[in-house]
Amino acid sequence: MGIKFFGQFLIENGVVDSDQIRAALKLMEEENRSLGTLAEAGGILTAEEAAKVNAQQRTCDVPFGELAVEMGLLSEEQVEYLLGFQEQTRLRIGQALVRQGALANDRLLELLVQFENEQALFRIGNVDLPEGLESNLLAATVLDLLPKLLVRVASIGVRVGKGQAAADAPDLPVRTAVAVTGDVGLLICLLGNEEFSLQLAGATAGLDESRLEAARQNVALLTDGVGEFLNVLAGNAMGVLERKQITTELAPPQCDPELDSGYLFDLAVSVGKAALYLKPL
Amino acid sequence: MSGKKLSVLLVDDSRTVLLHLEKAIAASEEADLVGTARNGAEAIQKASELNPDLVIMDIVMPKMDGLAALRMLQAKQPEIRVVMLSSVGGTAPAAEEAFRLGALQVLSKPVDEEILAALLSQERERLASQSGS
Repeated sequence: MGIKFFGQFLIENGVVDSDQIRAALKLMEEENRSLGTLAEAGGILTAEEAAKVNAQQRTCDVPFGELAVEMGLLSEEQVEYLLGFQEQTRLRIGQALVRQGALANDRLLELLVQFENEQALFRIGNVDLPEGLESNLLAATVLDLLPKLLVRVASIGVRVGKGQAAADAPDLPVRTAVAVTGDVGLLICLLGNEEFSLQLAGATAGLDESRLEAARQNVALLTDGVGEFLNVLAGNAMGVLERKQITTELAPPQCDPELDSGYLFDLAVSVGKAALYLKPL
Repeated sequence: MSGKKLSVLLVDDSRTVLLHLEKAIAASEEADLVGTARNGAEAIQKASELNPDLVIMDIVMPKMDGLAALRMLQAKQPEIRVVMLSSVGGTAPAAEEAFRLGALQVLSKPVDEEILAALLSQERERLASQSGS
C-alpha cells in the first residue's frame, strides 16, 4: 500500500527478479553522469575545477552544485540548468531493464500506467498551512497524507483542523514523534487518547480482538504502534519529496518529545481523541 | 507442499511490527519463525546461531541499521536470503541500496500479508527445488 520504488512494484508483480534489478541499477550507475562530469562536458567547469570541488566534497556533506556555487565556480542558474539536464537525461530503472532485454518497451509503458494509478494516493493536493509553516513542503505532504493513511491503515476517519502556532499540545496520554531531517526538517508528533491509540496500534500490529483487549493497558505497546504508524506516514511523505529531488532522513520514533515553538492541528477523528503537532527543525 | 518449511528470522525494533509478522508467518504453511531480533547487531548474532533460510529485516533501526546488517550478513553468510522492510521503501536511494547489497525484495510498510505470503511460497519452492537437485 505504501509509496514504492518502481523496482519493488515490478518484483511484486513477478515481472522481473532482484538479480535483474541489480543489473539494471549497475547499468544506471555506469551511464548516469554526475553533475561535475556534466559541467565538465559542457565546458562550464575545467577538469581541475571539478576535481577541486570533488576534493572539497570529501570533507563536507554538501551537494556538488551547492559547493561549486559557494566556491565561486558556478552560478546558481548554471547549477539549476545542470540539474534539469541531469534529470531529463537520466537513465531510469524501467528503461535500463528494457535495454537489458528484461522487459519489452510496450510492456514497460503499460506497467508505468498501472504503477502511477496504484500510487495515485501519493499525489499531493493543495494544503492550507498556517503562517510560518507555509514554505515547509514536508508539512504540507504530511497533512495531505495523514487522513488517507489513517483510514487505509486503521479505518479511522479524520478531518484535519486549521493549524495554529502553539507552545504546547493537549494533555493526551500517548504522545509519539518522529524527526525528519535533511533538505527540509520536521518533528511530526501524533497525540492520542487510549481509544484512538489502541485502534491505531492494533491495526498496525494486526492484533485480533482478544489481543487488542490485552494491549489496552500496555502504554509501551500503544506508543510503539503509534510510532510505527508515524514511521509509515513520515516514510511515505519522504518518498513524495524524494520524487521532487528533496533528500531527507528519518530517525527512529521517540516518546514524549519536547513540544514548543510548533504548530498544533486539531484532528476530528472517528475513534477517540487525537491531535497533530508539527515543529520545523 | 510437503517437505521442509522455510526457517525465518524476523528483525525489527518495533514490537508491533514483530507481532504483526509473527502472526502472518504463523498463519502461513510455508514458513516457521525461528527467532526475532530488535536491531542489526542482534540480527547478525542470531543469524549466526540459527542459520535461517530467510531473514526479514527493517531498514531504519537503532544501534545498527538494516543496510549495515545486510552488508555484514552478505559477507558472512551469503547463502541466507534477505528481504528488507521499510517505511521509507518509496525513497529510491534506500531501496536501490538494499538491492545493490543483495536484498531479494524491499517490502513497504505496513506489510501487505498477501504479498508476504506469495514471497514465502516462492522462497519455499526455491528451497525445495534446491534440495531436490
